[in-house]
Parts: sequence; C-alpha cells; structure tokens
Amino acid sequence: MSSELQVAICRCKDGDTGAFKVIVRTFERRVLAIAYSILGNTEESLEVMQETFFRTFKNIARIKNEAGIARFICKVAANYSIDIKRRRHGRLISLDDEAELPASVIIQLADTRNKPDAQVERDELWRALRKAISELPDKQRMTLVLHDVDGLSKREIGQVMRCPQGTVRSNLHIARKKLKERLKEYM
Amino acid sequence: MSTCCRNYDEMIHLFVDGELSGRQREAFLESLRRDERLQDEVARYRRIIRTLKVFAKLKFPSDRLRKARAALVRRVSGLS
Repeated sequence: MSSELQVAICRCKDGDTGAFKVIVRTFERRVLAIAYSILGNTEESLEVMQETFFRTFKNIARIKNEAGIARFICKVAANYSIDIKRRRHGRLISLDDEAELPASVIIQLADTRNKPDAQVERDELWRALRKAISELPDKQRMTLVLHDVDGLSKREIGQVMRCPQGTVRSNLHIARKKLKERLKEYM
Repeated sequence: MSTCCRNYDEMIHLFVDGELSGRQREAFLESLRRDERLQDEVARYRRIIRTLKVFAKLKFPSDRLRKARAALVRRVSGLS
C-alpha cells in the first residue's frame, strides 16, 4: 500500500498540493476520455477535468485508497459530464475535432486500411461514433463509457452508479446493441 | 445455439467480455465454429469495443490543457 499514488493520497490529506499533481497526472487521461466520449467537445471536457479534480481535492479526506479514488474520480467525471449535457437544454453544441487521435490510432479505426477513401470513412466513423454515444440515454451512456472506454468492472460500475450488477450488464448490452445498429454501415 | 434469441444475444456479450464459465464457453465456441452469422456478430461487437478504446488515446491541444491545469492549481491552492 505504499505506491506513489497511495503516498500522494496520504500527503494530499495533509493539504500537500504538490502531491495532488501526482493524482492529476495519474487520472487526467481517463477523466478526459470519459468526458470527451460523453460530450464530444474539448472546452467542456477540460471543464470536467478541472471540476473533477477540484472536487477530488475537496473530498480527499473521505477517500481511503487507490481503488476508492479511482471510483470517486470516474463517478464525478461521468456525472458532471452528464450534468453539462443536460444543462445544454437542447442548445446545439457541435462535436468538435480539436481533440485529435494520433495517426497510429486512426489506422485502427475499423477495417478501412485498403480502401481508397479510407480517410473519409474513418472521419465519418469517428463522428458517427460520437453522435451515437451522445444519443444514448444517460444511464446506458454512462455504463458504456465507464466499462468500454474507461475499463471499470461491472462490480465497480455498480458501486459508482449504486445499482445491481445485473442492471449494469443490461444497460451495457443495450447500449452496445444500439451502437452496433447505428454504426452498421461502418463496421 | 440451443438458447432463445435473448439469451443468444446475452451470450455474445458475456463471451466478448470473457465472462462465460468453462462449460458455457466451450459450448459457445462450438457454435461459433459452425455459425457464420454468430462469427459476424462477435466480430462486430469486438470492433465496436476496440473502437471505443480510442477515446483513451485522444490528444488534447497542449496549450489549452496547460491552461486548464494552471486554473485547477489556482483553485486548489485557494482551498488549502
């Protein structure tokens, strides 16, 4: 129990803001991935990142260990992202392309390598994927993102969302099925 | 597979998540060997899950990320 992260949690409880940077460094990519997959917008994702870590610091006394902080951070990031999405009140926020995928990753998107218009198809898939996720109901979207994007287990998601694992499983399967339908021309 | 459609679908998800028990997995693999439609379904779900993983590899504009980190440090410093 003396990993760098565990030490940082303990030092953070004593108000050490330097140690807090270790926590941010450890989870920043995960938080941004959760936020961007829900919101599809860079500015809002950065807002989620700030707010998530600010709330983590404020609540650090309640956090016991590495598993606890991971659950707390993922929960705040997902809930705050969904709050932002609700606050839009139907305002149209475009899915931006400011956050970029490294070229090596773009290649992995679907099996389009040998097609002449592969780049166009990959761009379309990337947009269609974000749109399909954004159209899922909140609980399905949150479950899909926490499981398939972030990699939390169904048990952990049940703890985060305060629901039985059966519900997590059902939401996940429905969400994937909807994505499969909406992306069928690309996959 | 000798199960109803709902279970059939359920089994695919459990299989791609590696959650089938030994005997269930064996039976599923046997069906998979014989059923092309099932192979397509499994491949499609695996592609979707693999594609979702790319969110973790996104690169955000470094100047804006720096600004957001700096603003966070200011907020946190104000608390302590």
